[in-house]
Amino acid sequence: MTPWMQTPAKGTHQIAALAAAVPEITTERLILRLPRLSDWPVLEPIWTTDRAKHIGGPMSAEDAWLDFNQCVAGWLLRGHGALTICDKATGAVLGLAVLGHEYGDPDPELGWLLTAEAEGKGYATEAAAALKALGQDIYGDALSSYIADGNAASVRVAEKLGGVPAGTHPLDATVAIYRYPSKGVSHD
Amino acid sequence: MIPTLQTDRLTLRPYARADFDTYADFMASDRAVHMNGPIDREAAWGWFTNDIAGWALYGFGALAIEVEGQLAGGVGLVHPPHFPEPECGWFLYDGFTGQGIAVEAGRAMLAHSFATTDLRSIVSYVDEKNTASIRVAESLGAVLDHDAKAPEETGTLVYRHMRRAAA
Repeated sequence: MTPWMQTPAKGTHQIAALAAAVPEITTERLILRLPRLSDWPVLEPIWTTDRAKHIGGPMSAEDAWLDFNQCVAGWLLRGHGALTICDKATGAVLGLAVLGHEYGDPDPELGWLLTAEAEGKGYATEAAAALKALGQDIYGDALSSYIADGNAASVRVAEKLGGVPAGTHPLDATVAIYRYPSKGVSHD
Repeated sequence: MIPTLQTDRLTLRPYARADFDTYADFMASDRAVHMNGPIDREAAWGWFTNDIAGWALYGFGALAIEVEGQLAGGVGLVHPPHFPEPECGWFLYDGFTGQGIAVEAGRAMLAHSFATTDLRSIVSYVDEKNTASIRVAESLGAVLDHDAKAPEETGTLVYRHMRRAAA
C-alpha cells in the first residue's frame, strides 16, 4: 500500500464524526454511505480506464483523484455530495452515486457511476432513485442529469427515474440534459 | 467535524463555497507561480475541493485563514496521489503577506494535525525560489530533508516538521 492510501490511525475519529453527519441510505440491495479512502482502488478505474469514455476520460490518476474529490467535497461545501454504492449483503464497493454540482454545469446534478463488475444489474437505478428524492427536495425541477452521446445505459437509467430530455449542455452540445419534472406541476 | 482554530490574531475555519472566487483569482495570478501555477478556474476548483475533501477521506485537511473577519489565505494538510507524503502548505492573499500570518497559521495547523493524527512528521514542499515560504518553514522550526522525495524531480525543497514532545 502506498503512503498516499493510508489514513492516519488517530485521524479516523474526525472521519467518523463527518460520516455521522452524512446520510446513510439503505435500499433493497444497497447501502449508500460517505466515500472512504479505501474505496478508491475499486472506484479509480471508473475514471482511468475506457469506462470513462462518457465522462471525459480516461483520465490520469491525478485528474481522476481531483474529480472524485470534487464529488466528496460537496458534503462540506453544499451539504450534499457523493455516496459510495455498496452491496448491502457483502459491503462490496459497486460505484458512486452523486448529488453534486460539478464545475461548469448549469444546474445541480443527479449522477451515477458503476464499476465494470457492477453494471447491468439495476444498481445505478436503485441507487440514484434513493438520492433523487433528496435532490428534488433541495433543488426541485432544476435537478439534472448530464449524459454524453452514446451512453445508452445511462439514458435508460434516467428514463427509469422519470427523466425527460431537456436540451444539451451549454458548454458541450454532445452532452444531453435530463430533468425530473415533479408530478402535478406545470412546466414552461 | 471540521475544526475551527483560534490564534492570537487569526481564525482558521472551514472553507466555504463563497471562498472560491478569491482562491481561483489567486491561483490564476502570478502569485501562484511557486505552487505550480498559474492555473485556470476549472483546475483551481479541483485543487480547492481536494483541500476540503481531505477532512472526509483522511481526517485532515485545509482551513481558510481569516484576519478580523477578512479572508486572508489558506493553510492545511493535503495528500494528492503524486505527493510522497502528507504536506502542510500555506498561501496568503495580497495585502496579508509580510505580517507573520503564515507562521502563526502554520503553527496552529501543525499543532492541531499532530494532536489529532499519529503522523510522526509532516513535510512542506517549497519552491527553491520562494524565499518567503522558505522563511516561514524555517520560522516554524522545520528542517531541510535532503533525502526525502518531492513531487517534482527538481526545484522543490522538502522541509520536515517533526512531532514535538510538548508543542
